[in-house]
Amino acid sequence: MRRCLLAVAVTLLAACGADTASVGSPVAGDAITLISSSVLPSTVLDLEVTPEDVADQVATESRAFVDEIGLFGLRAGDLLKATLQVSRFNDDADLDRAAFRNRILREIGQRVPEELRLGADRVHVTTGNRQTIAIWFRGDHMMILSVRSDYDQPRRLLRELLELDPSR
Amino acid sequence: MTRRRLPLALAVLASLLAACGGPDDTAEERLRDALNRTERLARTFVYVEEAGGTTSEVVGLVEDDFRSKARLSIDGSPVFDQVQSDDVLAVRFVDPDLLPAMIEDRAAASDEDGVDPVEALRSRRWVLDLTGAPPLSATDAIERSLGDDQILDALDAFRYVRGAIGGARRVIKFNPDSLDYKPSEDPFPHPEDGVIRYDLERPSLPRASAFGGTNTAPPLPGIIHLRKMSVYVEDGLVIRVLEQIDPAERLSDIIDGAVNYLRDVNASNDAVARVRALKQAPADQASEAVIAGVNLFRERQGEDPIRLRTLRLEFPRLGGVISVELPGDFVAAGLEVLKHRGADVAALEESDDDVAAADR
Repeated sequence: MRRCLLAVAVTLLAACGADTASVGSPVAGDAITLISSSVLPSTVLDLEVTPEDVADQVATESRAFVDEIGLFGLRAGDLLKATLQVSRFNDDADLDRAAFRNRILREIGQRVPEELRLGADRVHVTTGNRQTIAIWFRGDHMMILSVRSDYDQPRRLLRELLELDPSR
Repeated sequence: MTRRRLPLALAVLASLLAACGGPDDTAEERLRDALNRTERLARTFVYVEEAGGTTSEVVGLVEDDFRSKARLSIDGSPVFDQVQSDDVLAVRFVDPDLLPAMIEDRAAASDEDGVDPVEALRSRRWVLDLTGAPPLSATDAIERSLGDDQILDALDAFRYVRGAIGGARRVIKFNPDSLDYKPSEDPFPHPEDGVIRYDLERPSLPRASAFGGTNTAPPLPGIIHLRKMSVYVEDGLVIRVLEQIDPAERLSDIIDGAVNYLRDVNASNDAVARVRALKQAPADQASEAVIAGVNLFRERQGEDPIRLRTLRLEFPRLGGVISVELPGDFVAAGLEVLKHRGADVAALEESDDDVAAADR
């Protein structure tokens, strides 16, 4: 399960099979820097937040639309219950275009994400291998929360993380 | 005809042609847009279903997709309350007579803390489950049929309406001047001033000849063939949905299709005659018999039975701030004893086992 949760990170880094002429110019993986764990509190609900090492995965990407990325594990004891990926898009990513966002969303999960409303936020929810995946955009950042299907407070965790503003 | 009158004549001609019921390609898009806009708003709702001689009414409010409150009344008497706030689910039986019908067959008598949720529910107390909300993702949702749980049906109404649109032949804007419009077949009221009504057209019934052969399934009508649905939109927002699922108007064609099918499969003359005789039966009895027969086949094929019903869904308030509060006085216990509620403990334990095995 750990492998499944962490694997999601790679999806985001790639240019999603996009037509680069229409959505901008991806950059090489070695131009991507890692986001510090300071963007997150040390615990969220009952889960401990730990940064995951994705440097090697990032370095191997040859086409990406992000210039910063961070992957964080949320653990109960030793058990990984969820991961949060924080990605900042570079200037070439056309986030204002619905087509660009939709193309990214379609690349994540096993089915077309369903849009949900939580307070003033819109979150796109899909499923992975025994996990629920929630995706939302915050300014030039995108967040991907992957939660194990047996975690018993996925909504509360999501609502808590919606408060996060990585640009601050 | 003078030059000045020509544009007017063309305009009249164009409007007449439009009134002839030509295809309205954008009506479905407009309706879907209205559904999307409405769903994004906090709202109150009233969901009234009449089926099998029973009227079920769900009145509630939706703060957002994870927070809602609803009360189910049956034939005018309140019976069940439910509040969901994120992962927390609280329920109360105002009328405990409904309780046996909602208890899971495999329900344990009490949870691990020794609290008996059934007893607490029987005593009309609120029972609150900290992790009792339904599965987060739609694909994990517990399978149920329409009418099994009216509260969940009401909360899931937008998905239901979208499904109905998907099953319709087409969506058209209501136009009483259309040559296709038949007032005698319209069970719903005309829209008020400023309100647009969108109608879902039923597809044609499947034909016996389209199946052919002796080993094929009969040409059974589905819910999409028997449904009439109209959606009323005001200022770009859905204010009302009306639905009627009734075979009456298509009864004769359904019986003809069944007779043709029976002949195709070389059924006995008696069997053919019995089905054909339904045409002479009183409409109510014929409808009941036909739908019972159709549902028998559907259930054998693993499909949900067709539920004959009328539905009225209204949104008295759309937008603004609506807050859902959990009850203050409650008994904390697991709600998996109730159908379609509570965390599926067995599934979670299985998932844990899989994870442990994978970690090894």
